Amino acid sequence: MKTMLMSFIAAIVIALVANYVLDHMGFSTQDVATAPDVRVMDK
Amino acid sequence: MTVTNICFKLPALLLVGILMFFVPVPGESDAGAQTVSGARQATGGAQTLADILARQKGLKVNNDFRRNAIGNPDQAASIRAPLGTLGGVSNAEVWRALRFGEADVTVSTRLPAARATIQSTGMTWLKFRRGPLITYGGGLLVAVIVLLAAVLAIHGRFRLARPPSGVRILRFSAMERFSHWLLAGSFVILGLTGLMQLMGRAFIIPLIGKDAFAPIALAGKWAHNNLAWAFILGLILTFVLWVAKNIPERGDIIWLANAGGLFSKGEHPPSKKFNAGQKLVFWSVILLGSAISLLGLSLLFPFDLPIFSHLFHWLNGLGLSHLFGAGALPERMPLQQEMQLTQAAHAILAIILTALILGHIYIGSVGMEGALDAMVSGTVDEEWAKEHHSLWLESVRDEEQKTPASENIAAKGAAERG
Repeated sequence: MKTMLMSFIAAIVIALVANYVLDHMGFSTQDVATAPDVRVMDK
Repeated sequence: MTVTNICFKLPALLLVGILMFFVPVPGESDAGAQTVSGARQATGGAQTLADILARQKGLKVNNDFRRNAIGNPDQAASIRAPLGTLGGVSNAEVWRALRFGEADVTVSTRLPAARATIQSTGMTWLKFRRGPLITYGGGLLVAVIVLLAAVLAIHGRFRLARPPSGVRILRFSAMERFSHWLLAGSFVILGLTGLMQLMGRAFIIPLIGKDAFAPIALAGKWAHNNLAWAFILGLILTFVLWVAKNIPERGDIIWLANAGGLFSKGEHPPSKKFNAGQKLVFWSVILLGSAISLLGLSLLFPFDLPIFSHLFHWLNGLGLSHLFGAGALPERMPLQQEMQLTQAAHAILAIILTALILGHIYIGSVGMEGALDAMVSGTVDEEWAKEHHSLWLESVRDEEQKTPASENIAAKGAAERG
């Protein structure tokens, strides 16, 4: 059970780190969401 | 062949059949093709009524005569000559060039995809996403859940034939369990948030409204984009840890021929650490998971990692598409179409994997007594091991006899601590 919880916490930590790194690389999720062509197609 | 090649090409083959129907393939209905060709010559190369009617009937019309009719300034009549055009290209030819992505345009936005000003396959994708993808994809998942519920109701839980012995044996190390739950935990969230992105508009907005759905969708999108890395790491770890134990062998055929002992109470075909069913799940997860991850990376960095133009080029080189009678697959396409194909393939493969994993979750939890213990505490009862993985139990016993007693005690202690 402890290992399972540790893996879930690790997944959250990885997600936070990935978000931080990608943001600083200029790939924020907001960029993806507002890609103009994709937005128009999904209307 | 490098590992990268294998990771790319095996999942790629899987995609071929699925995408054949979705990719707009150049081709012309044989019936009346020559007549239409003759009629086009009569109109100076413009499309004919037969072309328009064929398109309205949903038939495939070869658009090459339009794609190639984009003017050639070098051979155009002089502007001073009769019917001469400015720049040697008429308005119709300019619009055709834009329509087929052949125009040499300059755009002010930084995205390379902005160069495609007209992208007609977007509607194909939108209709597919709203229609068959949700209908058949959602239908498959519902059907699997109903089937598993029926199996549980009719057959009940698979119980041990003999009572548990009370002797616990370490089945999965802490590292194995960590990798499994990293993969499983991230997959569950990715599956739920992915389905929400795909079907939220159709099923959740009518229930809670757009205002309530918007923050949920945004949070789901954040989780989906960022937990993908945990899934990829879990996939790599799981592959490295378990690949050697999942190589198919002769015993697997016997296991499959007996349906894993499904119809013989208390008797299961002998198997090593993983039986044939578990090996099928393992390879499905690795192959489908790799393909989904690759496609997901392409979606995560839109327009930067195009896959399908390379994939179709490779497939055309192999001549596979010709075998299916589909003609050459399009190697040049607007970047938007790349993303649409990528999203469709990502969703299709993810739904197939989800359907398989629902079965795995069922058998690993409520479906079979003692199975969940193996992955939560890491240990199983000796009777369970004897019944389900007798060859593995023998190898564990052999190892114990070879290993000094002090190490056995340490291993048992680790098993008890979980």
